Amino acid sequence: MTNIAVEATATGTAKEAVAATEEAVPTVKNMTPAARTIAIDEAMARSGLYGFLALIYRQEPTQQLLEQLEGPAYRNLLLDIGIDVNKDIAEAGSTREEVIQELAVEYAHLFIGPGKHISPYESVYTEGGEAGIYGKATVAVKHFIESVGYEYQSEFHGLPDHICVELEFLQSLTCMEAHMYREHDPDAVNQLRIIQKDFINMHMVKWVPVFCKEVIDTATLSFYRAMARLTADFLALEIEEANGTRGRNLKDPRVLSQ
Amino acid sequence: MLNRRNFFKFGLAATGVMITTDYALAAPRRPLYQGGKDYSPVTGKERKAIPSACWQCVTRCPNVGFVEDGRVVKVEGQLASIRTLGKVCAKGQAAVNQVSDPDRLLYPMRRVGKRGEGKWKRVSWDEALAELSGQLKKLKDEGHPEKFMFHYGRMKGSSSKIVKTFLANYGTGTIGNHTSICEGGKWTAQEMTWGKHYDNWDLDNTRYVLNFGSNCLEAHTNHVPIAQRLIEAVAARRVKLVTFDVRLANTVAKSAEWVPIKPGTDGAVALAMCHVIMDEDLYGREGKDFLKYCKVTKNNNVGVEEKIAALKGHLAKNTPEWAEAISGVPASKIRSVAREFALARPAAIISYRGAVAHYNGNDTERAIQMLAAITGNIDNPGGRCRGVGPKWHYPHGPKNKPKAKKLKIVDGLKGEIAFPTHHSSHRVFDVIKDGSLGRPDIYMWYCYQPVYSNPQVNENIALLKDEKIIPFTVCITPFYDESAALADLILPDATFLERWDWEDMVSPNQIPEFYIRQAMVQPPAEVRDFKDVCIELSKRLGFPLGYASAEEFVKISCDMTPKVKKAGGFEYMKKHGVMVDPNDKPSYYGYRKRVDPKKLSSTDVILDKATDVYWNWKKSKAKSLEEARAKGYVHTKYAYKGYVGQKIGSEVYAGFKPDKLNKSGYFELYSELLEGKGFPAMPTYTPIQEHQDMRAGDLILTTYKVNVQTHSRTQNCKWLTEIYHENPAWINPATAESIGISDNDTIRIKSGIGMLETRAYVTPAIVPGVIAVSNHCGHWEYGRIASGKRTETSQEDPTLELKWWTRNGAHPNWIIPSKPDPVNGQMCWMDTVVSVSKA
Repeated sequence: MTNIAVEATATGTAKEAVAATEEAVPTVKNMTPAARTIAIDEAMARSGLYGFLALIYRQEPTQQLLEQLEGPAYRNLLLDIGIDVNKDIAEAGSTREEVIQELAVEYAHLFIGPGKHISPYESVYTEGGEAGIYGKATVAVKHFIESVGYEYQSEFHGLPDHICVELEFLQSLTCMEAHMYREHDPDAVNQLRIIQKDFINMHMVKWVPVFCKEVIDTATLSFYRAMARLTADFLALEIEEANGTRGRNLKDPRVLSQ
Repeated sequence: MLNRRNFFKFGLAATGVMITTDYALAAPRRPLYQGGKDYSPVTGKERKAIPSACWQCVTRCPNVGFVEDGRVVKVEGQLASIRTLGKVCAKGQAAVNQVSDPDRLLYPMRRVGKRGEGKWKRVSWDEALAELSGQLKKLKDEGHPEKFMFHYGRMKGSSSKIVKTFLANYGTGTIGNHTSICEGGKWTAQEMTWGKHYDNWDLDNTRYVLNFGSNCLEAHTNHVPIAQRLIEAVAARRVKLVTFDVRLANTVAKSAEWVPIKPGTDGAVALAMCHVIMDEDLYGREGKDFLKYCKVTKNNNVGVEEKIAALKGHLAKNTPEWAEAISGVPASKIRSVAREFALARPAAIISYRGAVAHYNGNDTERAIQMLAAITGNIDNPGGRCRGVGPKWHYPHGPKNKPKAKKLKIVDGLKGEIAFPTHHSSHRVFDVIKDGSLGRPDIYMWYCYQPVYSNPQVNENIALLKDEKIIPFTVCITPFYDESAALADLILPDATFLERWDWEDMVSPNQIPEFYIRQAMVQPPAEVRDFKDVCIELSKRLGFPLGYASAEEFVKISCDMTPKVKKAGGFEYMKKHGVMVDPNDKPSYYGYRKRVDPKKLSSTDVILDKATDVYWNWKKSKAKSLEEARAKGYVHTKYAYKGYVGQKIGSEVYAGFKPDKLNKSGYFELYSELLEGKGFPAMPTYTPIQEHQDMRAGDLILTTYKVNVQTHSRTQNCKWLTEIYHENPAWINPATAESIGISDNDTIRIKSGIGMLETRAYVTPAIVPGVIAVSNHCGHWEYGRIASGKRTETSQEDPTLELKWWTRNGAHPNWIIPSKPDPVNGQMCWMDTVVSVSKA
């Protein structure tokens, strides 16, 4: 794996940026302002990605979402990560109404049913013969999230371990992490990173990669193939980050596996 | 191909524009470290968090109990409490041990055979209460309800109201408390100076703390709140803490300075500091301003300059050199501390039992009040303030109460104590033995240990054991202790984790906090909250109190108390445990409020010429206006109950409202009440005769408390007793050498009434000539952990599997005689003269 330096931001120098990212685990206590800015941006970027993916799995794409994705702000950024929004949308239909309907049909076909579908709930993947919805893993996820201090909204009518909830959880934690950098609270930052790492390792890593592969193999529309690929790639980065293996030779026996 | 940079560029762009937050999840509003719901890591079950209040000591910290499957598995602090800021101490955590104590009493027990023989049988509640109410009814029908004596140790908040309503409606006023073995003397001294007792220290705003004889970081009536704020002041704001103590207690260890002092001489040092402050004119503008509200002369109509002169005159002889000869504190130290204290502005003086539980304790506290007064550090931000607690409204029970009668046996023998405003209840057995003031037929005690907690244990046992002197003894307790062993009837009380109360302990920051105690779990087997028992007894005796249970009483109180009702009443309190009105401001300078002229215009309100007090004579015992005028305010019984305001110059101020004594509304350093009984009017140092008469080789025995135990009630908690189960006697190396004692030797401490065998702990952390024994150890009942007695089974006791310690310490109360302060009745714990030898 190559270690790519993050582009210097406006307030820092390239050298500091490189130095900051070369550490596998950032030391929070003695951050320079430049390093802090980079850390905040990184946390917010992760939050944005988690939030975007949560949105994708939470509901069928809306007119508004498609317009934003096609718009100049995002189209090129998405191209840089291998997603050609215009092509995906064009594939789905010729009119906007058709596109939205086809994407909705694909959403249901993939994630809801009726009949065979790719279950978006952790408990279906993790309990072997006992797999089903609202299983032990559902309770474990709910307890994990509630122990940190979160509450499920009363208006939320989904199941506690839906992929969109797990992604939303990480979206919120990473957003809080950014806030804690701003607040110069190293203890909170460390605590948040530990919570993220634990949740990724104890829950997400156990089923999301499999889920994504199923979606990639099953999807008829390139839009969802692309989103699942993005999810899998991003999660792989996150797993590396969580286990301190970023930029390191994974075959090196000194690398700790957590 | 993984390209972090590009991913993040997209991600950063996505935030705040197209994504939403808080769709399925509401983010935590509390800081992260406080966490959220609680799940057992082992069973996965949810633990219900139930806000309640502790009762291991009188601080009564709000707490949160975690209940799983109907069991209390953990107790933690109440994060929302402004008093405790989310903490409980070790004792509070060990509350879990109270509930699960294998030696708990689960049924009412009736003595069989002779009293004290140790033979018991179980009885039903119906049997127990039938016998008890039968006996009570008999006394009442005979016209002698006062022969039912009720003696409580700890009874506060709603418990106090319910039980006292029961007693009042029964018709007995023969009620004893434990205050004289606590710091009742301090309260009396405060009633003589600023009125209703309880002092708080505004440590959040202070610049200097002077401490006479308080180990508040380990033990204090408002322990966790005060300890936290004191440490915060010392550590975060570098506030200087100077402690006078005979011993290097842990509070001293956290002080900037330990000033070792001879026991019973704090009054001399305090007066000498007053001398320095007056002599060097260090009282400042604050002191001068405050003097307007002080009485320091017999005649009230004097200006501030005259008051200053009067103080200087009174203090002229109390030089630092004079105090040095008495106390052992160098004169230069007295001067420097006095100057620091006076110039800190504001500064707080803490004082507690170490200074007050002496024969001369009353004036020691008055001298300390004087130190605070002359520097203006009374009821000000950062100073020594009038304690503020929540004011609950509650149902008062039946309207037509009988006129209660009482045996006057809780104030010592006739003439023994001049102003027993908090009684001298520890003297009650001596008074009963004497018999001239009467004897109760029924002696009932609740949350109390008359045998163990009082001095002269031997005499206590002898008296209580005598079935001819007290015919019927009833004990209410969750555990079988040394006193229960001498009861005829034992009623098993609930532990505090199983009870309902509203609570009202003082806040450390002058803003009141309402809080409740709610049952975390149900009492086991046939255990019942005594309050519920009182309610049933009232029904049996024909005067139902108007509520069915303690829980209902709390509910009604929540609805009757405007602030609580506004917040959401009983349901709110059950959910949150604590409530503070966000509009409440800290309470300071209450004495400066001007009295509404409307309050003075009533025809019942008259101006007393001698004291310039406006008072409503109808609230006193005077039978007519003429009688009230003729006798005057000071000499009319209960005149203080009608106090309205204090005239100073041409204004009438709220002043320092009196309590229990007919004091004026001035902050009285000159007490005509004391003068009238032949004591010095102004704070004066009186040497302790016993100490003057000491022979060579005699030592002074003093007692103290540690942070993980309370006086008598916590030793059954195995987590606490594991930490502290032995109390060797502290003795200075020079003193030890002079009597031929080495560290760890078995020694004998001999007083006028008995001998105690214990181990010596030779340490320079105690002044020479003093021997210190904590009062936590030496139980011979109270369960297998506290007493060290094994259960009577042939097999190994599984509950003692982890008990690794074998020693149990020694109880000093066996050798401490029952001496009251002649002014206020305080038990003089710190005065006993003893001789010590190697065993």
